[in-house]
Amino acid sequence: MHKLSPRAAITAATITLLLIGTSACAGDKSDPGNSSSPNGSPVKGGRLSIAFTSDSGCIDPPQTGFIEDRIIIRQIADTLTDQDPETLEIVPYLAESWEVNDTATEYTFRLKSGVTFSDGSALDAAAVKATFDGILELGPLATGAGRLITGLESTEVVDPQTVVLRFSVPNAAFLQATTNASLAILSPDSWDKAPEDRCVGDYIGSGPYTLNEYTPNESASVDRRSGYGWATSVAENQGEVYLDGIDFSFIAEPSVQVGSVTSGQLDIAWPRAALSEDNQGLIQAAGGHTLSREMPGVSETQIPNTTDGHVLSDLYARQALVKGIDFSGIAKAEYWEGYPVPTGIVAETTPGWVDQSEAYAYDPEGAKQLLEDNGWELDADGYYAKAGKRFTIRWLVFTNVSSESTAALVQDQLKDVGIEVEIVPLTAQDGAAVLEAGDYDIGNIASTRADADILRQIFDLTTVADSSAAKKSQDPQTAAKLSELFALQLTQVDPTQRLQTIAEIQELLVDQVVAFPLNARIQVFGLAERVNDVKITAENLTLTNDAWLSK
Amino acid sequence: MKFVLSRVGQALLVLWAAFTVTFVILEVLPSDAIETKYNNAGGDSVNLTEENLDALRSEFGLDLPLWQRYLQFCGRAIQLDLGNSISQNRPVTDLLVENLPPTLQLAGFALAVGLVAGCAIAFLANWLRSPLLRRALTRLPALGVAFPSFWIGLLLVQLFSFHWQLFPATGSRTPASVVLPGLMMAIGPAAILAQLLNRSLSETLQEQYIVTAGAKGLGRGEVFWRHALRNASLPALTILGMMVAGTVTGAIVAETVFSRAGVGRLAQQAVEVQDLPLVQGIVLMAAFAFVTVNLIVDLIYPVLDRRIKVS
Repeated sequence: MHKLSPRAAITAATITLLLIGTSACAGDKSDPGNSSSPNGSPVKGGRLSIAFTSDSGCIDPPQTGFIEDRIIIRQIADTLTDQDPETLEIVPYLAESWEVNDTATEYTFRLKSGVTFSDGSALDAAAVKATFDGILELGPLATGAGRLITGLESTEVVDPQTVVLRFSVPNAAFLQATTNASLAILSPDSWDKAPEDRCVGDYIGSGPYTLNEYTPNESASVDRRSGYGWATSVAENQGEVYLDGIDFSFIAEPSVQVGSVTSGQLDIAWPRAALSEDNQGLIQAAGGHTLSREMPGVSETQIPNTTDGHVLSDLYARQALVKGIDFSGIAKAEYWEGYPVPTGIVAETTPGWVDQSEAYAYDPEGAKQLLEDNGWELDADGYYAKAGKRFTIRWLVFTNVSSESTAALVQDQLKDVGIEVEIVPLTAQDGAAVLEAGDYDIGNIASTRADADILRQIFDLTTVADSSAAKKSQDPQTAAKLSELFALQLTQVDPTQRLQTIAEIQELLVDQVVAFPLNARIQVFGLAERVNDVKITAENLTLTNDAWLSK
Repeated sequence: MKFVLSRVGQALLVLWAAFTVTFVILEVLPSDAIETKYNNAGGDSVNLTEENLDALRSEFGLDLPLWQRYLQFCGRAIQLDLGNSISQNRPVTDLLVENLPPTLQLAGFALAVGLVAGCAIAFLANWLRSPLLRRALTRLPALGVAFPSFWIGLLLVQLFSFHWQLFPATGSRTPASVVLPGLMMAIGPAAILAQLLNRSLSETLQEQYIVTAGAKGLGRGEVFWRHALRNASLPALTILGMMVAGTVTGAIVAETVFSRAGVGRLAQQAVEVQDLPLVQGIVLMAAFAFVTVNLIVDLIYPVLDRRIKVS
């Protein structure tokens, strides 16, 4: 036995940390978040307990877009299609096949036969029609589903297994929308219930589990449905699930989630933000493992206010700003060594993602040069100024979603290139008014969807709300060009053509610095030792069809 | 009877004032519950269009002029209809009815523990003969008030749930789940009660009649119970009303830290998203509890001290 020298100990510790870091964030497209472990083959039985950060208080599919609500919905109701988390392709679920017409205005789905709701009634074309009619009838209350069914006009039953959905305007993004739990198919009777009753789970689905209990903001539990046999193609297990049931709870504090896992009170800590390196270490020390994947869609994206009179209305100023930010420095300081840096305007897990890493290379000298070439001069305090006006930006930080410490880091980095940052911490409720009034230079938005149409929902100025952070992000020319491209991609049924347009959109957004991501949104979950084969879906929901518990 | 009627009148006035002040405060804030709910909820933007937002505003009656909404609110509140929660789209009364039982359990447990612990500390501080212990017990309450309750809560979780695994860290399903949040909530009231009762006890014990009672040959225990405690408990009773009201704010912290369902957590969420109908409902309920407890306390006074007349 020999003693480790302090130096060797530090080296060993660093290597261990690096290993933990890399293993925890190996959750790119290449890793679908498969937690298969060497614990043998699946056995039936046991209840899985899982804690989320929070729910919205409503689990009626069309009325919620909350990820955590959708996870619960996904267990008790099925969707027409699903999305492969690796290839990001749309695969069969309730529908075994589908056709889209040339103008993306007509979707025909052929349903699997023999599918029933948990009350025994048949899931047929009439049930699909009842669902989409019910969503249209909900009107503005369908906040989760509404944004997915843009242009939906009517649903027609062709025969018991065939249903056609017609749109008044092209909607090429609709196929991916049918993977979304907000468009889960419910029994026709469910749509006779009052919307507020469906919110607390008073509806019938066809999912692998049935709802046992739902207490908004506290807990939910689901039990295995016997005879289930129409699982998503994403799951290996096509039949009944292995678990007896799942108990969900909502615990806001990540350290309490982790402590509950390490003390054996909880199986899975599933917080919204990545578990910290320390918390990952605790999970691993207790014999557990972590699971991770980058959230698809638009990460915590910073959106400059480019309206007249604001310093960032100048494209060179925006470019200098981005050059002056050290993204890998942020990843290292806010997360851990090896945490991925943003690679583009959308996350890598979004179909059609274009690698734009080059645009986010740290180049402080380039930033200064760019400003000096364009008439900016350093003032007495070391900040750039032009025509007597200092390069000062008001940076909004929504404290419910972003961290002030990240903003402080950016403030330090930009100070080095002569840009002054004034951090304005805001709560969500104050945010809308500030964004609408326009008294800011940087706002932000995060939104999850595994389809690039999410960019249209955020950046198409012809539709976004006045209180949206993107409302002031584009000059008229850019806005018109983007709008045109957004409309175009919705007409393109051919995936290659559509992805081409989507690539153009991403280029334009980056070239014009309409927005830039501050960090990648990697989720890291902590699982107890006995949990096997829990997977992450394409939109980072929990897939439990294959999950089982070691005895 | 006349006393009761006038107190009920006062209580109604308090309720109306609480209702109106909440309405005004939430209205002057520049935000909009609809935008708050959808623009940044759960860390993920829902990306509604301006058209959607307008439709939702009119769905919840938020497009009406201020005075009209106030009258509407008042009119409905009189009929005990508090409208629909904006954030959860369910009747506020349903939400209150669902969330009240776990909070009552928690508050009941916390008050009981606080009462027993507070009285016990004050009693022992005056009963024990060791000056060291007496001083320690007299100083203890200050410590209880000084530590932030959420910190004590997290400490309790670490020790009694994660380390020794005696009680669940979260939830409100099992009876055992009330223990840790209840203890955390009890510390503040216990400390305040102990301080107050201790002072009034030690003052009472120096009164002439106590000395007389002792001189007449009554035992120490009898003097304590029959004479001293009874007289010293009046100020403590007054503070009891405050303690009950305090459980509302205590529940906000306890239920959030321990992830329990309840009115406190509901209040925290309602304020966070500026859900006016829900905040109104909770304020009304808390105000109602407050005036009721105070009414009861006023009615108990004369029983304890015959010199106090109901008037």
